[in-house]
Amino acid sequence: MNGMAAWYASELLRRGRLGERLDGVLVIDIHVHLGPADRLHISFNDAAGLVHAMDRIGIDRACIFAGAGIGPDYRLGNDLTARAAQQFPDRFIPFAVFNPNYPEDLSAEIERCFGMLGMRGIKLHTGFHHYPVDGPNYRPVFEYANARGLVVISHGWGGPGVLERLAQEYPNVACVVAHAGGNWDGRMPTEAIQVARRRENVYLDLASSLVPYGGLERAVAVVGAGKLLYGSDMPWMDAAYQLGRVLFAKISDREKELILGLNAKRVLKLEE
Amino acid sequence: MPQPFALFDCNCMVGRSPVRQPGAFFTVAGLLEEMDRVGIEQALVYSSVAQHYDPATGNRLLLDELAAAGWPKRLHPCWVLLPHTTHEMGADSAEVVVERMLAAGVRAARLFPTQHRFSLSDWCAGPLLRALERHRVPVFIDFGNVHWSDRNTDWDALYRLLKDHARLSVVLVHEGIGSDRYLYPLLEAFPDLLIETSYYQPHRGIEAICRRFGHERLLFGTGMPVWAPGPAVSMLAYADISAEARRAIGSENLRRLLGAVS
Repeated sequence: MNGMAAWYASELLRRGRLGERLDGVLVIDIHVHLGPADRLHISFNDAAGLVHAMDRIGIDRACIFAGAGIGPDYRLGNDLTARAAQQFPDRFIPFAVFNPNYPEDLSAEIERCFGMLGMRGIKLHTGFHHYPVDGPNYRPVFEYANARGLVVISHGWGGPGVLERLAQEYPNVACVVAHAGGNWDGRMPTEAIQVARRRENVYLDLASSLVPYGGLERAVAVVGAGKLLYGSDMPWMDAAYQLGRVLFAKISDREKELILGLNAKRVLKLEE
Repeated sequence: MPQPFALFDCNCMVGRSPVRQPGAFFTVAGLLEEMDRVGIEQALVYSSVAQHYDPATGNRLLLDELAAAGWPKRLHPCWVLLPHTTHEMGADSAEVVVERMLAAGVRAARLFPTQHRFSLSDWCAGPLLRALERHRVPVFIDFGNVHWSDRNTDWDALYRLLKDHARLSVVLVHEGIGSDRYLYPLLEAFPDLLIETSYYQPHRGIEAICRRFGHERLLFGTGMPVWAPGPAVSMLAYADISAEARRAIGSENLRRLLGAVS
């Protein structure tokens, strides 16, 4: 095989090239759904189907939020998420989804999710729910998250200045900008890239169907590996897709380990 | 313990492009260096100039660059083609275009029907497709989708093409999640339809295709240097499929297609 010496220079690249399980490397997937989706055919979309994929790769834990929650019925979604976490308590970290279009339910659902259902973080989808992240109906969610130092991962952080303002207003919230690290092509810095560089409590996840050449390397150079979180968007996408982007990136193995799991461990406040 | 498997990338490009990704190669030497780093043994390569400017010029430049590099055995040229009727391919017959291509040692063709604004229907591309079919030249079709939610793929035209050209090996390029409800019926109906894997990233999607349709239906590709190569490699490396299937998708299926060209 040509070039063997070159790619053995990275142990993680070597393992990715062979498809070797990442035992001994902490891998935490920050962005995982569960169940079917209206616009996609998704095979193996139940909890066992996710864990099977995690086992092949060596993904230790995954933050999950069921597709039903970001779609039509967030209460149904939260129930499905909690059930999956009960089925695989050592593997799934359940995140609650709140739909701001049902403000009358919100307080009770927050209590239910973080009481009875044992949720550990929050996922918002401002796109599917057609609601601005800084709108009044989300306020109770941010207040709750700030009081408890939770992670809020949101698909969409609003127009110019909103992300920075919310990150400043809620300093105890770890604001994860879904897809922002993954989609970036590494050329003109986006607002999320700029804010993540400035604000300590802003992080970027890698979940993305697009993997522009050199984009991850530029993100590491601009915001630092400490601000990037591996996220697969499983089961919309294959968990090995973004994983490969990290394993094969022209960055150090230490930076890869931060992105794959060590950053998430810190942000999620996980114990050893 | 995973078994090593070879990779023959069916989707690589060389040449300068309108947009260059950070750190991206554009020369033959740069491509070979990146293949070494990633662990890719061979690649089928087309010209960026052929895609983004003029197929005839780009195809010629591609051969010039490969010749200047001493015809690396690891690289195999793929020409970008247009239907012959506007005579932009330098001949007034599709058969002559394909014969010239084969005489130049090129055994694969790539079509960009959306970007190059032509129809795959018989009234437009029929003579070209028949010439390629006659010589068993595999045809890579790129409808120009960037994101999976783009809707450039003309599924009905693709259906008619496959129906009318039963012996043509068609490889659909850069098709992503959200395509299965179109793809599965076509894969079921047409055994010579294959999927290139660079953007085919449904959850356990390679495994699902292998189970349902067989590992003969997938070809490993990366889309370098527009897209990062690692995701495509990892998806294949970690897929829950047999070692035989991994070898087939990684390299043997493409070798089989190129070996059938007459």
